[in-house]
Amino acid sequence: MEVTDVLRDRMSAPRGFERMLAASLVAHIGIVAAFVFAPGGWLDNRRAAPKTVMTISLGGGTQGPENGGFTPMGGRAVQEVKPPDEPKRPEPVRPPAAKAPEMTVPLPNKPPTKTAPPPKVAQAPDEARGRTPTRGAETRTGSAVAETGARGQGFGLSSGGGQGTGSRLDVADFCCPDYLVLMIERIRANWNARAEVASEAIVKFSVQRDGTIAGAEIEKGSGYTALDIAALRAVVGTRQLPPLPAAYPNPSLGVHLNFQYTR
Amino acid sequence: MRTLGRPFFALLMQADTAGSGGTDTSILGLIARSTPISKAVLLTLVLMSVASWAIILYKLWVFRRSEQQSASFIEVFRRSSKFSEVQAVCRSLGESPLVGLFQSGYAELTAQLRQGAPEDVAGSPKAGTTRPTLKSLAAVDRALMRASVIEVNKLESRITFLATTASISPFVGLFGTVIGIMMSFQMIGETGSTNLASVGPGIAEALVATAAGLVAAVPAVVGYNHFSNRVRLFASQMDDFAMEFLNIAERNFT
Repeated sequence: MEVTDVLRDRMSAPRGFERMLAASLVAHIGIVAAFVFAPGGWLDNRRAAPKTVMTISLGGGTQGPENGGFTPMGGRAVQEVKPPDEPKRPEPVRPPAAKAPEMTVPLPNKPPTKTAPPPKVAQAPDEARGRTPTRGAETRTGSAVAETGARGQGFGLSSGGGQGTGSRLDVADFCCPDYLVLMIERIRANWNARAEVASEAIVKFSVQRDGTIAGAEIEKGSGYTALDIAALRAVVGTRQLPPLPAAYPNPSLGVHLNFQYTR
Repeated sequence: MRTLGRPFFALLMQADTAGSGGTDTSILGLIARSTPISKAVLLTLVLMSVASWAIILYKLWVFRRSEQQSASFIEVFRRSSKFSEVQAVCRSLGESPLVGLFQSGYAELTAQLRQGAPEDVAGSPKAGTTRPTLKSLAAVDRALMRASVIEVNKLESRITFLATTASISPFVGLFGTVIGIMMSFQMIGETGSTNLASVGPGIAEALVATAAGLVAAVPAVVGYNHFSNRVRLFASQMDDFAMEFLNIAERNFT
């Protein structure tokens, strides 16, 4: 056998490439099929994407430009200015008062003097009838006039100009602001904003489609257990809201409520 | 001055996205809506990936068998005292490149010995009273070199495709991406809307092509480097064997 014959025999590559090609093809088809039939969430991270957050602030005091916007306080009429006091007049010259009588021994048989009964009151004084008393001669600009820095939303609510966290409106994609107003009113009825310290607590809960409140918990504590519990009580005690509006498509509405305590 | 109570509520609301449908922005949706050029690019890349993976698997298999058979062949070669014995096992260890070298050298050796002593049967180095001699050791060396070239070519076959895939598939993917982005900008021009929502899917779809190119290229690069290195090892092993063979031939036939 010549060397060349040997080499010619040796030239053919070992078989098996077709088999490997088929295996590779099957593997690729398998991977593509896995992509096609993979359960949602393997390939896209839409679930992990940050949720759109809408921040609305309701209420708020008349604190000027920083805190304007859709506040009931802002809607109040500006209190009228107290008219200036009468100028003092010189005291008229009067005769001196009668001299007090000398101390005498009381008569033992003298009948007791009768004191006049208090006058009957037909009507409570003005101060007690719901009108806020004027505190002094001062002129205050109400927020109704002031430039609040608020942005209107077209539905009567506007966001606050920015006080603390949570007072900014990031996204407005909830359909029904009046529902939110109702929800806030109901929760606020169970809550007292006054506290010995100024702090805030965020309560997280979700409103189910039938309006029940579920899963209420403190998301960010105020640092004071009592205030946290009070905020939580306000939410839990509300218990039932009207059903979610039909225009809202999702089964539940997650809400993060910011309770701001003021001194 | 103390103002009245400042009841301040902030409401953070998040819409639960569960159950809300919409446009399909998943990868498959993007591919389904892509242009024919993008689809062709993706198909090309998939075919290149299929071929390169086939080569990788095939070469892994072949190289492993070659190594095993080379090891057993070397063992047989060093243990036996006659080339004819070694020649007998060559048939069963045909995958080893050393077998090619041995067969080639043995054929040259046999031819020379038969020419030198026609009556004597070759293949038994230590047989016979008259010691057969080689005419030219250089001819045996050349025969071994020829076999070595053939074997290295065989080992290297198809590996070049891995190099090709490794270098061009990113560019093919890039081409698909560039075309896709061109289409997206064209769409901006047509609709006049620079809204990200209208342009985004097009760009995302275009980027799928680059991703596919990289997915095809990376295993090819790894495979190419791995197999080049193993071919180098095989070549040095063959050189070593050729020298050993020549030494034995020189010792016994000159």
